Amino acid sequence: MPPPVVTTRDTTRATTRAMRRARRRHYVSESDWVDSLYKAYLTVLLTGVALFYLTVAFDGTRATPSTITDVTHQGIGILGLAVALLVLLGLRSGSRGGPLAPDAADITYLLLAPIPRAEVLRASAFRQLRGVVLVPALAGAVAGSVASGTFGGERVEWMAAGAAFAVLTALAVWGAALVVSGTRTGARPANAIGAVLVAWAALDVALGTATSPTAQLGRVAVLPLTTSLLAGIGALGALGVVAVALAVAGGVSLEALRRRAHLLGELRFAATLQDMRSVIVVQRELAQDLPRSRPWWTVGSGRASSGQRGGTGRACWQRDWRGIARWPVSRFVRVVVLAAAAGVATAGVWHGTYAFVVLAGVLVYLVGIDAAEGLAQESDHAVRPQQYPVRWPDLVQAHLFAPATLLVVLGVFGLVACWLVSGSTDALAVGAIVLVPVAIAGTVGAALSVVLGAPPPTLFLDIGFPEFTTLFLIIRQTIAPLVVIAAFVPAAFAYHAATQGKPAAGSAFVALLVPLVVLAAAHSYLRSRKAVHS
Amino acid sequence: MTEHSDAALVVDGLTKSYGDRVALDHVSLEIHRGELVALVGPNGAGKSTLLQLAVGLLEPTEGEVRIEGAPAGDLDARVMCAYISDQPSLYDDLSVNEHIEYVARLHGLPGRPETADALVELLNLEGRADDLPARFSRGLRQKTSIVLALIRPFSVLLVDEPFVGLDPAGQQSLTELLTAAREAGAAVVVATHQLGFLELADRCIALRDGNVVYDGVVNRAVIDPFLE
Repeated sequence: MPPPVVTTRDTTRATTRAMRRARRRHYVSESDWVDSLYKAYLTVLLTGVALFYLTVAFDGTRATPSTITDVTHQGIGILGLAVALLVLLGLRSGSRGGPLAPDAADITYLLLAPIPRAEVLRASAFRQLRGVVLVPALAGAVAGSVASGTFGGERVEWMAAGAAFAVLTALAVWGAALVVSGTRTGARPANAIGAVLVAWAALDVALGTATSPTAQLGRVAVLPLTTSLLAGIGALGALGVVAVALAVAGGVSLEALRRRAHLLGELRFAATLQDMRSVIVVQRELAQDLPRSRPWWTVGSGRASSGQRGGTGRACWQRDWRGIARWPVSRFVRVVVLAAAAGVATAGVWHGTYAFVVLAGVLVYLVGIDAAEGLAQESDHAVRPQQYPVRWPDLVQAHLFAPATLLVVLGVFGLVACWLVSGSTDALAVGAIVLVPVAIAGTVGAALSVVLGAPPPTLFLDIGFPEFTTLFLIIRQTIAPLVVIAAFVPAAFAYHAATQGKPAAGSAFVALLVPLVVLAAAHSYLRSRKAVHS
Repeated sequence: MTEHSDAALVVDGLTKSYGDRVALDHVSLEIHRGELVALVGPNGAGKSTLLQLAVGLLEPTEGEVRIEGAPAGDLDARVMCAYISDQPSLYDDLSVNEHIEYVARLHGLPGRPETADALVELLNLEGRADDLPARFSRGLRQKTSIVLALIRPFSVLLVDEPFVGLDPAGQQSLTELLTAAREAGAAVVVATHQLGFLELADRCIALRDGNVVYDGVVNRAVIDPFLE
């Protein structure tokens, strides 16, 4: 029989601190300082470029007094809706054990050791809290700085308000997730709470009011325009959620933590390799975004063979739709929301902010990633397609039709959203013109990222000039979304033509040449690639 | 629940479901002190699930597990129960010696345990004790996790597929360690596909589709059909 173990709170703290010190020491001794400096240099450079781009893209026009009045009245509700949507995501994450993410070794040694588990989990939550606060603070300050250019007023005030809003939002989302996981609230009640918050915030937007709990946080962002005590209540609410979260952190299920630890380990590894496909697959597992065992609908008889006329195309078409028919509800909701958001971003282009072309392209690219799952799985198991009596380029092409069709259908949601937000029939007409090219570009872009796979370990040797490895990596990661972004260029051309008094639809038609050339090149490259994981 | 003074591990009506799939179905059994039990069964039979429930890594859908009378996963149970996973988890940035020091302190042991050096030597880790596991093979990682599980006192030892990745010498050393734990009075449960190990076991429990289909003395003629 083991002797009684004496592990006090102080002993536990001292032990875990000593362990973290040792780990840090090894991390520093194993790191290459030249490599670290280079990473820091790249981070500063890219941040600078992003800041410059954002400032140029959004800082061009000074808002009119009526716009400022609109933002003051409606902006709070819209921000409240955005916060509510994020809190919903947090609640969903919490129902799956988030947001804590210990190492797998922490589960085996720390959480199975005879020490109070609540202490360990609370300490882990506190450490995570620092990261939760830091990044949003910086992003919020940047957004505040950009907003000051549009709305006027002291830049410092806007930066402080932006940072405070972003930090409080992040805390509310993080805290909500931890409250749910700490109290082991199930997915259904968590989703129900989130849905109520979103519905309340959406009602605010529709009625032009700001009564929802999350709208009170929205007030913090517009403090430079209008001060309100309710903003303080919103802030206190977010901090209260964090306090409750820390109090219940000890209740998080070890089973959920273990599952997350395993998947996060894989996610880190995939991210290190810049393997986009692996990151997506692991993220889906983490979000329990898994195929349904029973499909929503049945597709075909399944008797098609590659020996028949048109067999490959039909087989791939059926296979892809069978995959889509097994999507969980959450994935359908996600792609519809992303498509609608792309439509809203296109409406933003119609209001003169050309930078929204990038956002719209990235959103459709993300939809494409979901839609091109059939091709992605062929690529994951490349040994199997090698045994088909079909050439790889033909197989790739055959897998493009179903996702492109799905993207056209989803594009209708984007079209409606664009029309509702812009209120312009010209915007609707231009949206209809770019709908099919955008759907094809979304599919081809996603297929490109699939067939590109992770960069090979010998990349720096393959490209001949090791000095350009980083640049090459950046191009490699951005080329696929750029194909989709190019498909939105006609929308920007059309708006520009409309401001010059020329017909928007005609300009959009002419500008279709840009995405068509890009698509032709991308398609040609797609067919020239070999199966990546073979 | 009946109290059994000599049962170190008591499993009572244990069920674990994942949605519609039942991984363990109302399993009840007892493991006694000084007993070495082989847990066998085909893939997906529920062996790992049973051990993970016993150590507190999973939560039962129904039923319970008690370690020396304490509910599995509770602080008192964690004092008594050592576990070797089939997937060794190590900190990639702590050396083997630093792992030993850390785990020993977490278990309230003053300084480096006396058993540590003997275990490191037996498992041929002396030359690697100051190395980081990030560069270790599967077998070396497994050996390190065995050392970490055994450096502290325990009365129940749960071991999941321990021989995977070990070289023949490592397998031999581990077999010696498991039998030594039994001699010291611990209840030892080993989930394994290595049927050769059955020769050493006092008892065999065969699982299939989440149910106990055999529980008794080791008799290959009776057990083998359950493993197909």
